[in-house]
Amino acid sequence: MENRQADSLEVRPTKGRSELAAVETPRPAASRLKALWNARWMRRFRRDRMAVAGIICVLLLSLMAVFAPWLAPYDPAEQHILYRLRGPSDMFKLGTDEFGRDVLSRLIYGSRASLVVGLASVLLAGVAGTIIGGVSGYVGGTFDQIVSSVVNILMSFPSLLLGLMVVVALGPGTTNVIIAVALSLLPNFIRLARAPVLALREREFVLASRALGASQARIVWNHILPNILGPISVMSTLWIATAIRTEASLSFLGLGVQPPTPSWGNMIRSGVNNILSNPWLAVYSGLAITVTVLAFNVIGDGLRDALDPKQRS
Amino acid sequence: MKAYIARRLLSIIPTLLIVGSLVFFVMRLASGDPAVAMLGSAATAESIAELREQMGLNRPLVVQYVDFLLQALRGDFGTSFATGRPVAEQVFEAFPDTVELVFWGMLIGTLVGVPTGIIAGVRPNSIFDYISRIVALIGLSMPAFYLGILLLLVFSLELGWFPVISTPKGGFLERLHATFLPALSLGLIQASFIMRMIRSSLLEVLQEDYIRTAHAKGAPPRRIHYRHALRNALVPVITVFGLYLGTLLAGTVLTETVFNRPGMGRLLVGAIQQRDYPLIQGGLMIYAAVIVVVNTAVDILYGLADPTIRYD
Repeated sequence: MENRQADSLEVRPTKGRSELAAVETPRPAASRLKALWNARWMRRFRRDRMAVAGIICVLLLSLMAVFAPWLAPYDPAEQHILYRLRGPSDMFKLGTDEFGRDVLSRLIYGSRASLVVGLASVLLAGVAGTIIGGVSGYVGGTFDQIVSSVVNILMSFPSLLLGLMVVVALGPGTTNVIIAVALSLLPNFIRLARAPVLALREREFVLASRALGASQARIVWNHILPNILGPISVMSTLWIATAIRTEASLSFLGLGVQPPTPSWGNMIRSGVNNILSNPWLAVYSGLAITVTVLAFNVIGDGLRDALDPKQRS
Repeated sequence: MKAYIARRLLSIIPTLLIVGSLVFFVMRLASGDPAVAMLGSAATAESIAELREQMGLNRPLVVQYVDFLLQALRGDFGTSFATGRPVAEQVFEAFPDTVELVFWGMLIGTLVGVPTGIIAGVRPNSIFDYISRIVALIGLSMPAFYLGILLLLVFSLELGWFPVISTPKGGFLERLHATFLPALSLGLIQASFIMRMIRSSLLEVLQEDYIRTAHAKGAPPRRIHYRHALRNALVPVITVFGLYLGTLLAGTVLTETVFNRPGMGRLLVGAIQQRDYPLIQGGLMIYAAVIVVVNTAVDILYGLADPTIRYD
């Protein structure tokens, strides 16, 4: 006890010194973070209890995905043949599936598939969509017309149908599902990036920069991009929710993440196939999907309300 | 107005053309050589060559593409690998069951979603608003097929009120009995989208100057809410209606699987699992055509509802 106190006493001056150092030579990254934390919209966001709960929930889920090997009581693919389709017991807290695999372990590992597909596909679609939409809006002309009419058509298609089409072309599997979900989200991102670029192109600060002889790349990177990232990041959160739902749907149809790799979608599939012998199988994994998607939706709603207080959802 | 409607109707053609091309090339990418896909990898080179000749696969891709579009225009999507029957025949057999499901789903969604959205929007931050918003948020996050599974567990397996397998057959009431649970699962999810949309649209309209004017001149609140506000609040809702219908249609793919119900979705999923490429192609085209037609209809309705909207 005394030792620990001594430790903390020793640490304190160093902390003070580093704070002093920070005042003398301001570190840009830290001060930028601090400015972000104190920004007016961030304060509004921090007061939004639902959104904060959503953030905590997503953090817990991420921890669960990262530390799955330590949290799961069994290997998710290990088959306990003698204990097939059992209900909850001391040995298997949430029971077993048709191959005698531990449902709790599969549920924990399943968070990986949902989060990886959700994040990777939104990142992929976000980067590609911002580039295509941004270029399309910035360049304008025939290229822009073609892009926006194709986007308009694709936008009217539900993401599940687009995802299905791509999976049919590429075949099932985790990587292909990421591509399929990304492509199904792409039109949304293109449209989101294009519209503000169209308006920004004509703004004074962009014109001034051009008059000063800035290169196209510099204008886009320094003046256009920072101004469109806000709405894109808000919508990304909401589209992670859509992406996770689409992955679950594709895996439910047997076209997504393939067993024995557990995903909540393919666990629902096995639950429905064995609904008479172990009805709980489908209930757990569906609940996991609902909670995860809910968390992302709540964060997205909170961000939108905080950034645009006039338009409350 | 007539010119606007005509333009909208004409725009169906290029849209379907683009969608048709997409489906054609995606399917080519998927199946590689349809003759090999049809005969399997064990087939001899001669039999493959013969079938290629028969199916016209030796012709240039562009010719095949144009041919596909022309045939699709006549409603001819070839014959299914699995059953040997014309794709169009199978699709049109399955279609009414899906339409029935979508109809009831949309009806439930509207009947539940619109009134809740109005009440919540007129009295923001009331208990009703609070509860309905939380319920809608859960509905937004829950996949419709999962709600279907829960309803199936409670009302079919536990209580036995509805059949476990939804087979739409017999008279009107029997069909409704079989369709109710799947339609309810789609409809309730739909209702949460509609509720949120109407609520936020109504809240926005209630901030307008003319609402304040109406209050100032002493119009009764009821009249202001339903006469002035609601009419204008419904306009943006119409635009997303087409989108909702599309999502609902896609949702049937999953819901039909959960309830073992015949229809387009089951047909498509079965075709994908059996690698029945002509059937997948035809199924996707029909989905696409329905969505395009619905969206055009919605666009026209939008033009009629809001005279300030004019596209050129």
